[in-house]
Amino acid sequence: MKTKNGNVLLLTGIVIVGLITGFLYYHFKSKHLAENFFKGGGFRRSQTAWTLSLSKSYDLPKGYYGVVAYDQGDVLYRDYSKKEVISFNKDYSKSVLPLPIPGTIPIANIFRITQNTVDPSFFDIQCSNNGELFSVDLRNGRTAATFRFGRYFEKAVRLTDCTFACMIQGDQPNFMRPVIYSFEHGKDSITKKSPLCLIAMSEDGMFVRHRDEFIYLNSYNHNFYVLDSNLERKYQGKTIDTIAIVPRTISLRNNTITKFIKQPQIVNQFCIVVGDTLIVNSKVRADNDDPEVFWKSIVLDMYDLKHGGRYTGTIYTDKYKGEELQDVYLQSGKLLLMYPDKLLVYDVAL
Amino acid sequence: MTLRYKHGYLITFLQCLVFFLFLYSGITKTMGFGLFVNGLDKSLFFDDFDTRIIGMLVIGAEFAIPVLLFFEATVLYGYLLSFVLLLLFTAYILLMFLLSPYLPCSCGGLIESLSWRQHVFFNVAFMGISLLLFFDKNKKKAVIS
Repeated sequence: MKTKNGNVLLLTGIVIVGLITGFLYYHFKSKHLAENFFKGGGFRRSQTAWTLSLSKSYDLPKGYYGVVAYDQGDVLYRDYSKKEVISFNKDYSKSVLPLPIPGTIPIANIFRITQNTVDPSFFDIQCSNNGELFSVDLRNGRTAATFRFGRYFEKAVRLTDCTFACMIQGDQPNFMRPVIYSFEHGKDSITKKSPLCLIAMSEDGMFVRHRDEFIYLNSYNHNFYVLDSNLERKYQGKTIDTIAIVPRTISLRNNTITKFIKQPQIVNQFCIVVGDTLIVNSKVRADNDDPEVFWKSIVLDMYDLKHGGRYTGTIYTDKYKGEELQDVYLQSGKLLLMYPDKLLVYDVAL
Repeated sequence: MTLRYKHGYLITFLQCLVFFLFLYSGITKTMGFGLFVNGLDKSLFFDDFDTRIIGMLVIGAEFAIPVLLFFEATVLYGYLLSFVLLLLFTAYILLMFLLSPYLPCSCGGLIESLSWRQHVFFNVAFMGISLLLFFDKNKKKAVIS
């Protein structure tokens, strides 16, 4: 009797496994997941009601630049080959603001310069390889505070005058993890660790703040993660391009060097959060994008963060002389597009 | 005469293997839950699914096996669940092998260091053990009743 019961149970188990496997197979095939994985495409874009009108343009000597801030009509940008920030003032005059950091820090170690969100008169200079962040007053050339992380960190986002959200190496080498780093009472400590672990390089991306939440957008595939104020994962969103690839890396010389096996295709190059909208500069052509127009355009896809990262539309604007973008910045209704020899400022209107 | 009476020590050893396999696997997945879910996220098969729920179901099933194996009355179900879960994992691996353009792994711990081919052999071996234990126990129950 028992033998019979046991056999029925076994058969039921096998049938359940068969059903689950069949469902997974059907899901995979019906959504053409493998095809989409390879080709990108398989999606369509629609234009938004947002319009852009060029308001200012600045000529620059050919170089590699990044926008630092748009501060009451002044545009601050950095030249990656110099230890300085340049300000294009409202009256088109130009001032050079040297970075007040120790001379021993090589230029290559200055990963990011961002405006202090708590006190916008200050700027944060992130020297990731040195594990240091300098809070400086660029206009007076003085350092207000130095935050020593004592380890490699990247993509720091200021939360208060002494706390930052940033990415640090995870529990395993080769993994990066968002954390909240506190420097209260002069003592540095990690107060929160996200369960989200990302493979270094393969899952490299952008880490930005949206109100009390954080967004991590992958550069090489369509995934983005929305984290709450405790860095717990709220949901996983997907940009409309269908690329799910996680590029492979190879470790050399006893894991001291990691390289991509093949140069990966960038899917999402830049992202900005404005209000409840996530704006992503996508590099993947949709089925309804004209190939010739697409490669000559800057494509900014919009996602509504209030509704689970739902795609709402796309803004297209012409590339300046067909050149690749170096940086995108949006603040106070001004969109700044940085090219190797030009900075364009657009008015954004709904 | 069942296998248990002939090779009592062997059966106990195999039972311990299954018990510790799932206990270890459940613990490593729980400890690195974020990493485990991230691994599932990378699988094309779980596109559009809430991978956290899938992760919790898998961990729940893995922990259920040592619990079921702990009590004499439920040992049979423990072997059955072990076999079914391993069969499901193997079917998933084979689907990945055949269809997926890349192979992410989220098994956790030492098992993660196995290649995908080794994974299949490992699973088949443990499926065999689970099935052997299941039939042995089932036969024994039939003899007793």
